[in-house]
Amino acid sequence: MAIECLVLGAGQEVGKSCVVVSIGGKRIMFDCGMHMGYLDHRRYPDFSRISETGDFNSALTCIIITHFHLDHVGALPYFTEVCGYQGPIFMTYPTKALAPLMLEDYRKVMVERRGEEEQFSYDHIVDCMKKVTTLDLKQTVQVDKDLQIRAYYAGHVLGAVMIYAKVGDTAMVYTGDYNMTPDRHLGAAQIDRLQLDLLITESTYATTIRDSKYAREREFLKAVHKCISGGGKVLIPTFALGRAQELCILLDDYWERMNLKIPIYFSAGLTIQANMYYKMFIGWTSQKIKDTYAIRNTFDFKHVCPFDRSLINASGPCVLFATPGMISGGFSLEVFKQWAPSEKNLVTLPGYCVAGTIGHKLMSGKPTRIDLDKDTQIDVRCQIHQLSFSPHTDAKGIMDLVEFLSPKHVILVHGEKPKMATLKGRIQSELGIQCYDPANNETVLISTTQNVKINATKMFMRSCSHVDLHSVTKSAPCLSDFSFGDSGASNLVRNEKVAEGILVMEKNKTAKILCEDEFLQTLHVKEHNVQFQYSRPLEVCREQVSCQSSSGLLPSNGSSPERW
Amino acid sequence: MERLLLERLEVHLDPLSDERRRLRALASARALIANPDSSDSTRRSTVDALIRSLDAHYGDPAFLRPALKLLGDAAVLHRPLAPSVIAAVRPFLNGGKSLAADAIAVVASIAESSPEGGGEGGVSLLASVLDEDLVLSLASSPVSLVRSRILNLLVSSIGRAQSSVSLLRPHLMLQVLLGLAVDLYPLVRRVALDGIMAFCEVAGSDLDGSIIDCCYDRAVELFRDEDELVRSAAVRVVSKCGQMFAASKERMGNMERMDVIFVQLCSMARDMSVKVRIEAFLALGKVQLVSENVLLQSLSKKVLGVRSGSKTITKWSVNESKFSLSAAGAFVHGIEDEFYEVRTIACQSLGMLATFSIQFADNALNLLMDMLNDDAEAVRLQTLQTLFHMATHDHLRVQEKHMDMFLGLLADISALIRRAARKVLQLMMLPDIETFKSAINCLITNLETYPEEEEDIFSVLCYIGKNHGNFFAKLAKEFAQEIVPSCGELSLDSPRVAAIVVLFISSSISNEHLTCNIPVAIFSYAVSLVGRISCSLGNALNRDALMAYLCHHSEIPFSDTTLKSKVANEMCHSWSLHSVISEVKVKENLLSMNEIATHLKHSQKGVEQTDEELMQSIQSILEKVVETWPLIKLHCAHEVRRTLRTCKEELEMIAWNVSGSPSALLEFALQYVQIIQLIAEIWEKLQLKKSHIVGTMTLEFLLEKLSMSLRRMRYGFPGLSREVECHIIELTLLGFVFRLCEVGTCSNFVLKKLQAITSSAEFLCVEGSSKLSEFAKELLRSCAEGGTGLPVGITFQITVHNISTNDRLWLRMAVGVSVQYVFLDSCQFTGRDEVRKFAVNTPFYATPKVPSFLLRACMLMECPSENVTYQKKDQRGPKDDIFLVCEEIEVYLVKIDSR
Repeated sequence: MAIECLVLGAGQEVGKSCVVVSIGGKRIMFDCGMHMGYLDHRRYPDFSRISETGDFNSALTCIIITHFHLDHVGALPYFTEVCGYQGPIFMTYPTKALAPLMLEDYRKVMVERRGEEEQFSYDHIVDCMKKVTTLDLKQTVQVDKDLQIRAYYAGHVLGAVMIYAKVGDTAMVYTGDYNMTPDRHLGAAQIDRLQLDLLITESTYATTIRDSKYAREREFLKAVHKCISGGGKVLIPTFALGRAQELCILLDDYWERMNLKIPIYFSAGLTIQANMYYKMFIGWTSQKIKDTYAIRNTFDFKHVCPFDRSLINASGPCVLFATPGMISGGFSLEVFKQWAPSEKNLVTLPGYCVAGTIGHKLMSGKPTRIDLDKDTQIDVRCQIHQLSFSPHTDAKGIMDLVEFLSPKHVILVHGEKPKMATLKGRIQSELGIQCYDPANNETVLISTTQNVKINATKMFMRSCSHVDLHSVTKSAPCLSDFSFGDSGASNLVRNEKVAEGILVMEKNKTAKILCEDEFLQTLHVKEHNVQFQYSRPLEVCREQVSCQSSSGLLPSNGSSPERW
Repeated sequence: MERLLLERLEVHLDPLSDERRRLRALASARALIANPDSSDSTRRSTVDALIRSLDAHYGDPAFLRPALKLLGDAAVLHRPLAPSVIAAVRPFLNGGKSLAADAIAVVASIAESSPEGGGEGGVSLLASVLDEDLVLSLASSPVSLVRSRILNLLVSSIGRAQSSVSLLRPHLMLQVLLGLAVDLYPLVRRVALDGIMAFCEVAGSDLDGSIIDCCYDRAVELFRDEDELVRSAAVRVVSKCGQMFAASKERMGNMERMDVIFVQLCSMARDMSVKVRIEAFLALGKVQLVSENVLLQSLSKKVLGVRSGSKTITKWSVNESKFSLSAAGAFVHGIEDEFYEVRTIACQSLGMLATFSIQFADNALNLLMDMLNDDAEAVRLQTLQTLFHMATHDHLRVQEKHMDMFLGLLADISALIRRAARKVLQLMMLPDIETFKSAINCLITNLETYPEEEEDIFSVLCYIGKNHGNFFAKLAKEFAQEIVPSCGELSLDSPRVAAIVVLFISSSISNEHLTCNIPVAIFSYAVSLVGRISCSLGNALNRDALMAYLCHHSEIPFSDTTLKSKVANEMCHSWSLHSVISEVKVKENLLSMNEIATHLKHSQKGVEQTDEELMQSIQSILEKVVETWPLIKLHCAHEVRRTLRTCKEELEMIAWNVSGSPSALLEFALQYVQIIQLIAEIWEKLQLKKSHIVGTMTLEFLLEKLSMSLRRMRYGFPGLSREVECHIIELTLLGFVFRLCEVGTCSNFVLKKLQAITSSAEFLCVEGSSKLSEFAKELLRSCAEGGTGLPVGITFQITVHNISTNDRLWLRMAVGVSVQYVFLDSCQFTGRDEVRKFAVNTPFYATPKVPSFLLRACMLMECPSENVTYQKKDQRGPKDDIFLVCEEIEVYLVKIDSR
């Protein structure tokens, strides 16, 4: 059986993750994302490659969404409502809860702010979500007679999972985005040791090896603490979900420990609603939060309160979380205009900013003046701190996972081309595993080994499950102290486990392996013992001794009693 | 009733009766056995019936299993039944069928409950039932339950078996364990590994290298086991083997192997199971003899260079890189683990490994400093403990970049963390003057925020000052300016000032050359802090020694010789006298005691009959007495008492056999020991009873006893040499100084007496050749001083409850015996409520002319109802009986020298 893997998105790039895998006649689409960098047809995966006729229902067995980020779920309403896919969709509970928020927010930005033609409507989102079947962690779902899927915890964001899919004997894992090191609010990715033919893994940081997260946290806290103790205001533009909660926990905890009284504000809107979901899905968070939520839900922040617009120009230090993350507009831009001119204040930037946003301008060099439009200019005198909290695993983590799972083949997606090539080389040379990094719309064919299944009887299983210590030890030299000498020691390690059995193959039946003892029974034959006897008179001078001996031969079963 | 049941039992146990009846019969048999009122014969016949029924039901496990269990319970409950039960169960062990499992359970439970408590007796009982062949055949039984039960039995016997009895010979035992360690069932594998572990532990260092090899290989095989508990057991075994390799004779040959073990354990530290990770990090902490570059690799996620450049074969270097890969960053992952248990243990292991290599310690420090920001308190605490551990091994080299995070912990909300952080700071060598300064500032902020931790903070300041004399020297001027006020007012209440004074003192004590740079005034400030400082220094510096030191440098006792006041006032300069005592104690008394020992010898030379031996023994005893002096000063009361008591006993022993003139000598020595004993006692009392409320009577009594003894010594032994007399006089003086120390008892009389005695001592010395000791000189000078100083205004904030305008309230201020009363007019109280507040600023006139003194103040109420009975004419104060309205408060007053 072969696996055919068609990469529709995120091949040698980051964005619009979408991989269609065919195993044993089953076709599974993993993720259905959109590319945030494009506004034309390139923003969606090229669905026509799945089915030229557009009959997606018969072409696909199911869709599985790993997490709620738009580059993994963004094209889903379009695909189901516009392209007309009606088949099953699987995602986890948190993803199902949070994905509509993300989609609706995106739709609003697109339609209402930029005035674009809408690709899908609010109703589309609602209808799409109605088709979703939810998955739980480590729950095995039998999609149809042959296809089994199972979700494993992936870290990354709330509700993110890695997907294990199995058809017949062929098994594979699609990781989605994952994180091998735990956050404050999320745990580390966790998976069983599986027998895999194929592993499709993300490779965002294919060459980066990150140092300890503590160092990054320390830098951040130090910058914030320094700013507020100097009486400044801290603006933290973030995306509503994920990093915002992470940073909030970090600050809340620090405030608690250092007994700080300076207010931390959360700008209203999406974030408040999102927080509610985080409070609900405690089972998907890190161990620490799970351990303590009965006493206090970590997301009930002690020091965080909602922000009021009138507070923008209030005196005194404060910390403010505002959306959107790249200061591309909205509330974070409004606050930025007010606070940027003071050198006492601090603005933190997320790890990644799209070109053209103010965040990007601030990242590239330190401008003193930013032109917002023809009439508005902002004097930037505040301090800038770049955050480097990433929810993706680093190269070491990818290598660890690949080594742990030891699949027969690896496909890299969701990364930059040159870096992926480096990682591919490492996986092949260091781990000796065949590795591919296909571009978009390329197909990788992977041949899998065919296993023949045979049944074994209970007795056979028992016979190979134990070593006959008795026979081994009888021959061992009997010494009473601890030094056995060379032969003794070598005897101890001797551990060849040979199980003997008889393979029976009958027509129209699965082959079966039996123990010698049951063989005759199976064939309904009686055991015959053939005894040979010979006698020869011995002539001795005074007395006559007749010596008899017999030995059994083994006609079929190999064991026969010795008789004298 | 019993009989009836028994008969019915016999009938029902018949194999022909139906199944339900048989089971019911078992239930009634159980009742018969368990009932405490059953007779022994009934029990025995019940068991006999059961045993008979076993044979009858051969091949019926549904009956045999509960029956066997019941027999086992019966034997446990009633030991005498055990032999017959065992005999009955024995046949079931053969054949290795599933019933053997039940039979093993029966035997095991009987052995467990054997009267010797499952110890050797249990094992010997087992050994009598199970011979080697039987054990081996059971261990290779196809039934997993049989294997697991016999294995449990074997493993539990390993720890107990003494050399005399054992179930299996060691090599067979090991063979069974190793064989079963690869069993099909995880439970069996795990127990087998535990068995190997126990086996190694029992065998200890006797174990042959090749055998450890076998155990090690088997355990490493199981590193990739599917069951997490098996993996963690395997990690434990490998760790144990590693320790045994390291301890073995050819340890140097094992270096390479230790590296391999370390790397293997590192790879287990990335296991998906928490339990395994915990075991792996525990094991990593115990590894020894690992080469430095492998250690370093475990701290870095990036693969460091190939271990040695000479190895260039490509195949080798691939292995090499894989080798490094599995070790890479094990600890980085460990300290970032999701589970705080893992983080804690990883941190602990880091500390243990840090003792092996300075380079490793330095790199580990970078990680550890980051962990101080962990969200779990347990982890932060462990990190600090690890740092402390490193500091005690002198492997803690902090850099400036670390200090921010570290000093931040001083502001932690948890007192435990703050304390631990200070403990580390105390031992830390700060890298440069900037960090020194910020550390001091952080401690001061700490003191301001948490004044209740003053003791601890002062102690850290003392250590820092002591250890960083050079840095301090550079900053001394700056600090001095900060605290010495321009306008002459100094607030020692300010934590900042107090902290800096502490710093000054500590650094000057340990770095004598710095002392000259320190303004004298600071020493006198410090005098008032002496109680607080010495407390925090704990055992490091004795309070009195510190006091003496401070006074010496602040020149307090000599400071005002210009004052002409001659009138001996009834003032108590308890503190300065104290200092005199302690200083004298250190030098003079020790000396003079030595002297007396020799003097004694000289003075008694004339006595012909004294043999050298006697003389020598007395001499040595007296020397012992002299040696107690430092102990007295250190308040080792117990020690001192013991030593002196033995000295006394020894002298008494000698006195038994001696008659005539030497006995007088002995009497003298005995008397002397007695006096020292008293002094020690008094010394102890004076230190303890700071409040002078409790125990004054005993102290008074002791002082009286002392002066009595001294008088007896001085006048009861005629013909003492001048030196000896001088010494006795000095001791007498000491006695009077003791009296003065006791605030309140000092009086004109005592002072005058003191002066008289001092002058007699002076007289003696002038007459003789010896000089007046420093102690006596000091005393003379102190006596000459005194007089009334300027009145001092003291503000009292008074809050009274439930006071009517008719109540007569007084404020009493007392220094020594001079008392001043101030009448408080209730009209002055503001407010008409139950609670009234009032501030009174009242001058105190009888200020003693001393650097510092203690003023005690309290509120009194006069009882107006009593008739006037007795009136003191010379006293301005309450005329009627009084009672205290509040507890006495103590006010410390220090004279700030304007120089």
